[in-house]
Amino acid sequence: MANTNEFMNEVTSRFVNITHTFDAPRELVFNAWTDVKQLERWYAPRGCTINFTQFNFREGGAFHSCIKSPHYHDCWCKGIYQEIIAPERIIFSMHIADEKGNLLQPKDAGMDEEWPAETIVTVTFKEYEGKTILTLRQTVAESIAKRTGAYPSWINMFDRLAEDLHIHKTSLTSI
Amino acid sequence: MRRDVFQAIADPTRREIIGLISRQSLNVNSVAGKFDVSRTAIYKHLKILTECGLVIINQQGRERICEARLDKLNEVSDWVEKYRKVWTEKLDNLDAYLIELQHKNKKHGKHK
Repeated sequence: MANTNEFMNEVTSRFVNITHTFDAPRELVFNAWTDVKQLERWYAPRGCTINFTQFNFREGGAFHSCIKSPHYHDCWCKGIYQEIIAPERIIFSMHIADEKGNLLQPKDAGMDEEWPAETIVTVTFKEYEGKTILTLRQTVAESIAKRTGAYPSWINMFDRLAEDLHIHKTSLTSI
Repeated sequence: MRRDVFQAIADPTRREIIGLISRQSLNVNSVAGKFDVSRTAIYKHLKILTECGLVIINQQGRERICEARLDKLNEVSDWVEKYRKVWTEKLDNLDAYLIELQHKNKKHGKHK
């Protein structure tokens, strides 16, 4: 049983862990995250559009964005840039919000109430043979992780399976 | 009191219990026998796990058999999958955008 427990306690507290290789210099990839005009070009899921009502790219600065989808209600999100090290790393929080920028609980936004209201996203940029390897991790905010204990370790367990498949897929399609 | 899957897995002993009986259904006493903590503590954990829907206890003759119900955990992995999908789409968009950008820069002779 020790192994199972160790395995489950291996809390990297992450939901999502994605690696993607871009055939572009690191500054270019990094800069695409730092400027509203560029973000509006790509930072929305397929079929959706995004616009920012607030965007202050500096440590402690906030953003407030809205994703519009033809099939779903508007998704407002508010966050704070917690760490910016150009061109290596960006860490920001994401909180479910409303149009006015009030922070919402998931159930008030029509989401499952067990879903964490706040998550932390860490994006790192590494140079590799003229390309850029981007890693993105999304975790539960620390306060929530503490409250729910090791719930992320379970997520990690599921994630690990999917991740292996995913890494194979991205490395094939992006090289 | 409201119980959910996250509460169930928040405690290390409860995670061990789930790990144990997910491999093999066991009666309550055998479960308790595998742990150093008191039986009362294990019974309490089992009670919470059943309230959360992760464990069901069946009476079979004189024995009470604990069986793991892991469907609930799928809810967690479903969410993860949703989020992953959104990010993957965004990064694919970024890929396309960067290709376009570099192509444009090349044309204008500004390629770094």
